[in-house]
Amino acid sequence: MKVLDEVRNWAAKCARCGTCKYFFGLYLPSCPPGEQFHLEGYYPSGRLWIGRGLQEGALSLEDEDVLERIYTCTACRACEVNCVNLCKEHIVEVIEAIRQMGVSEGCLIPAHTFMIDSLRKNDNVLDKPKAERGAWAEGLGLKDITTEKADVIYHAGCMLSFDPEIWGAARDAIALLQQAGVDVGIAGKEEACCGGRAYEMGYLGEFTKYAEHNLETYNGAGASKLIVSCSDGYSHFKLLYPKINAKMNFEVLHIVEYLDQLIKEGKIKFTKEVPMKVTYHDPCHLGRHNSIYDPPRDILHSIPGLELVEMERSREYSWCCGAGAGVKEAYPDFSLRTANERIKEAKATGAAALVTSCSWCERNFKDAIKEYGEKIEVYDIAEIARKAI
Amino acid sequence: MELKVKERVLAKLEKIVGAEHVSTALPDLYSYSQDMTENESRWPDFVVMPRSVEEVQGVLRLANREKIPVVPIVGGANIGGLTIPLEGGISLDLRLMDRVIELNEEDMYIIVEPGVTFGHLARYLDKNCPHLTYSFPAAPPHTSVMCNALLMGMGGMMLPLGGNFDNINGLEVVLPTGEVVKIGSCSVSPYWFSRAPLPDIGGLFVGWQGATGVVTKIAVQLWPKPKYAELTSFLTYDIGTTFRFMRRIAPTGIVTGVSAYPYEGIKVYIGRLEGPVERLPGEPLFTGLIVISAYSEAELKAKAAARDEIIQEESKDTQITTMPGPEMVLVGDNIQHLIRGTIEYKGAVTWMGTFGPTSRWAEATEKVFELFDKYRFPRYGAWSPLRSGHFGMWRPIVAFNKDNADEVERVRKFMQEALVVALDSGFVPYKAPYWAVKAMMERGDPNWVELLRRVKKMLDPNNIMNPGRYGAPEE
Repeated sequence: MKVLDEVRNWAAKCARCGTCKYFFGLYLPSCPPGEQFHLEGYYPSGRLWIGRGLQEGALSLEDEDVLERIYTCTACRACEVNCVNLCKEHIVEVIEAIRQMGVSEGCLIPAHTFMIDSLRKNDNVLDKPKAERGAWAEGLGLKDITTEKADVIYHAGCMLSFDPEIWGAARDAIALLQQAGVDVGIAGKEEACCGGRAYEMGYLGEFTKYAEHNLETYNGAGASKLIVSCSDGYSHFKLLYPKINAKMNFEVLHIVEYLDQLIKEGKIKFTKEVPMKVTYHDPCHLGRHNSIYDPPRDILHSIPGLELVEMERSREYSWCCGAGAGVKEAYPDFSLRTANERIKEAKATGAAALVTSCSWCERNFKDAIKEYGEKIEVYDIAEIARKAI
Repeated sequence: MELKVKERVLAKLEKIVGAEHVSTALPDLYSYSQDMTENESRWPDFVVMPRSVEEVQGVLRLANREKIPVVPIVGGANIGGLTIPLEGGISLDLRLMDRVIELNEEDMYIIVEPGVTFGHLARYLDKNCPHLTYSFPAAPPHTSVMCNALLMGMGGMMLPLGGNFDNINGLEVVLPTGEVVKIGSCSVSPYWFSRAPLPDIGGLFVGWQGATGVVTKIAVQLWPKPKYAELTSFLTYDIGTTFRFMRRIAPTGIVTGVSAYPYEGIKVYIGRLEGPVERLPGEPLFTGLIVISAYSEAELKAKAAARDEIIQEESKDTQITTMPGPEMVLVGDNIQHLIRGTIEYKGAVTWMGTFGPTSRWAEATEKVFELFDKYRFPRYGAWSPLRSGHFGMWRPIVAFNKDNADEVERVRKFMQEALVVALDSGFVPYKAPYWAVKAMMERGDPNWVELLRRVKKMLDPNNIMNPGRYGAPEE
């Protein structure tokens, strides 16, 4: 088994001091699988030590117990906020490298194999027909960027495209952009997955294929900006695409960045009161991965009548929703329990609604509410903002 | 362990604690087979996570019947290899027993279970009685309050208060044979106010590294939190001045803490430098911290003046440079910010942590500096007086790369020789790894050794509790 450099260089740098297990200063738990399963192997330190064990030959990727500990990580990076050692910025990198090693050795997780098969067949990870991808945009009169030019492209992403229950995030985002006079188009049913989930699950080849395809499509479209509502997708475009060393002729912005900009430029004006107490969940891929914490808060603060209260674990100390990196598909019970922890935390603020800016977070919170019955509304930030115009 | 035996034991363990709290999965066993030190890896056969005293009793009774070793562990961050299972068996992870049992504000103590960490305690005190504090150590926040005290650990207020082992009011212990016993005033009184005035059998469980039973509750003392604190850094340029200064200031009652660290190590570890260490001309030999704390501004001012007077007098013939430290509000707590991430940053760390007479600091330090140079490690460690200077901590520290076989070899040799330096100078290791315990039992008073063995045999007739450590039968 070929041990990748990331594992070789960083796995042995973990002292298992335990600092990764708490948000420092708050002294509150930070690692969802560690808190769920308790055994050391489910914590970040345990995973790094698994990397060491693989390198030593003491452990094998053919061992399902090893795979479970490696794949229950949502790549939320809470551990990287807390870690004080040399491996601090490399923990998730090591875990992803171990996953790549597993995939290359044929040590696969069935749920992920299913997702990758879907990707290959339908250009999405959700096993939905490709032809239905643009259905969310019906009636919005958007330009089709495969046949005409638009200044801004909106990339909906797999989750938003195929889940009618959360289409509001995309449709309301578009409404806000149109109100601001933005010339926006979409790829519709020709849009393809960003490939990021494949990367996170260890399928480097699939990721590269989709990254190259999307870069060709979007570079060719001649737009100045690519706007994404899905935080996972945003992060993959921003942080993973540069790994394939291809030029990106457009700026990538998350919808919160763009809306915040448009509000501050006076192009979006909130004229209606939204008398609601809300709390905001920082998606890991937007917050910890890309340090975007203020724009969504600025948006919420600018909505008349809206009161924003913070959860104790917020910003870089945010508790993960439990959906990322293929965990929702492979370990659904664990994923929903993690989301429910966050729902309870949101409710404890007294907020009537939990607002977020990621389709995967939104989906998982809504599923957790269905499963566990907590009473709180969940909105995408665009949906809340749309109420104010 | 034979497969048949393992399967039988596994089935019984699952009945006691539930299947989800037992693991024989290789990645879990691997995690519990080693720690951050240079001590060799030894694998357990099971990892078991009990949630109650009854479950602990069940596990120990089973272990006695089956003659399986049991090694209690919580954070596993002791720097002594103490939770590496030398003879396999059960790694008994007590992390899930994490309740605060009782806070007695009036009598200033708190009773906690093994899994209550320093982070947990800090948060709890902040929320429930912010006017009280604990002597928090410079340890990662996810480590156990109980284990620190039982393993002779210390905290930021060690100078006036002694080690955290000095401030244990009582224990609840599950004996190796499964009985539950209370130790201290709590065995007679409803209050856990002290181990006095009863015969102090707490000593049967403190410092024994889990070899005499499983402690399931501990009462520790809390202290009024000072409202004011001031941190001063100092630099000294020779060994004699450093320790003379510290020994002078320690018993005055002025300072809450004074500690010294070799400047070279601070430079390398905080600067994250690699390669041979460059000693620059005129560079300090030690850097240190002096903490004063007070309950009023007037008290703080008076202590600062007294501190400065001592520094001035000590500086007459030798150089001591001082500067104000970072702002701190809470005594002991912010030390974590200063120290965390220095010693573990390479992935592995070890130390020859000892207690001993501060009058011998200089002698032992001269010798250990030679060892650092011999084995090509930056000179580093921590020196602090405890209990007004009645004794002190002498603790040379080495951070190293565990995946570098040469470094590991050099570390092991360094540690063996550092032990000899320590013992020859009158220092005694705390959290001593098994090989240091063996050396001490070979060098120590034979009647003391015999008594250790008798106590161990009395409490643990089948030698199941963390075997191979204090009280181990003669080989």
